[in-house]
Amino acid sequence: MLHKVCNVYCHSAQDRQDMFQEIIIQLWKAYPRFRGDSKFSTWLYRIALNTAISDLRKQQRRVKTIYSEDAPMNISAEEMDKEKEEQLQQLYKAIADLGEIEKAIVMLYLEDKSYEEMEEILGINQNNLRVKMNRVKEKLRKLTKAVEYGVG
Amino acid sequence: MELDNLKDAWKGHTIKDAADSNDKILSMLQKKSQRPIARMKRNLLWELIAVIVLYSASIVYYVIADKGKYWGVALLLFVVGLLFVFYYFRKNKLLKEMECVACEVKSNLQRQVSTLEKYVRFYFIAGTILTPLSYFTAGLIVLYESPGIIMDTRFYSWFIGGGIVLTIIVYFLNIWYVNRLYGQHVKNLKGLLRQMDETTETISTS
Repeated sequence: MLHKVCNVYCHSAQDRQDMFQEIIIQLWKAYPRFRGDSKFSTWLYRIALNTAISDLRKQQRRVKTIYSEDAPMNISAEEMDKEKEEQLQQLYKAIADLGEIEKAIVMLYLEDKSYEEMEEILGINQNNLRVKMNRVKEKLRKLTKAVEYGVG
Repeated sequence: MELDNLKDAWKGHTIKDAADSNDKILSMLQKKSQRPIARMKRNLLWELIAVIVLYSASIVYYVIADKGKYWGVALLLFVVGLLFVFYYFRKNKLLKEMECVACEVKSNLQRQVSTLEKYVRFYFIAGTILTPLSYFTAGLIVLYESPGIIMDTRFYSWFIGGGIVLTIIVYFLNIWYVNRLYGQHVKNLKGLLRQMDETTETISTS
């Protein structure tokens, strides 16, 4: 899961490694204060996403990074057919064009989190999340079409 | 491409990475965080150490010099040094409050914006006051050590004029510097919060 967060938010191997390390450090520091008020996965996502989203220094660098064709992410294709793998690559590329918050919403959605849990992680209320999710789906549809046909 | 159709593929895929071994993770934990707040905390600690060492050495010098003749200077330096220490503790407190990584993303961003704004305000006010204060303290030390100057009116006009010019320069320099250091960061954080609130605004206006 942590690697997926890094892949969604970083495009270069170095950035991904730095972010992974940063998340691990934050988890390590925060763990003694984990009291079990929320699910462990909720707590884990909060830390990973807070680290990824608010690391603005990296974001500025990311904006300047052009998403290269072969950049993503060592996806294991052991149990996945080629078509699905290609779709995932396309999806990652499309996600790269979304805003930082939209990326988090899509990721949680793909991880099959309920809107209730998404609200617990992000702090955005469920109605707003639904509206935002519909917009993001539409945006991704357009973006993946653009990738498919080589537009943009 | 429909997002819902990709859920299984998304959950099924794993990412190979050499960073997963226990040794690698242990070595990561030995490293220092490179997040802006962690770096600000470290810089602040070094500044505090430098101020304590410099002021302590100066205070000890003035206490010992000429068998305690200049103890008044030492006292003055002690007071200014205390103000600096207060300044660092306040900044450190704000830095500690600035982030809650285990909180909801939105509340963490709100906390960062409000604390960073407080931090910037404090940094600006303290920076603008402390430099002229140090300057005038240094002037008092010169007066204390060279009583002959007291009668020289030219010294006063140069000294006070210099102090006013310095204060004005420091004021504008601080505006530029604080904005350069934190302006873009605050703007980006606010941008993220706006992204989170976009749907709220749309719903309430529709």
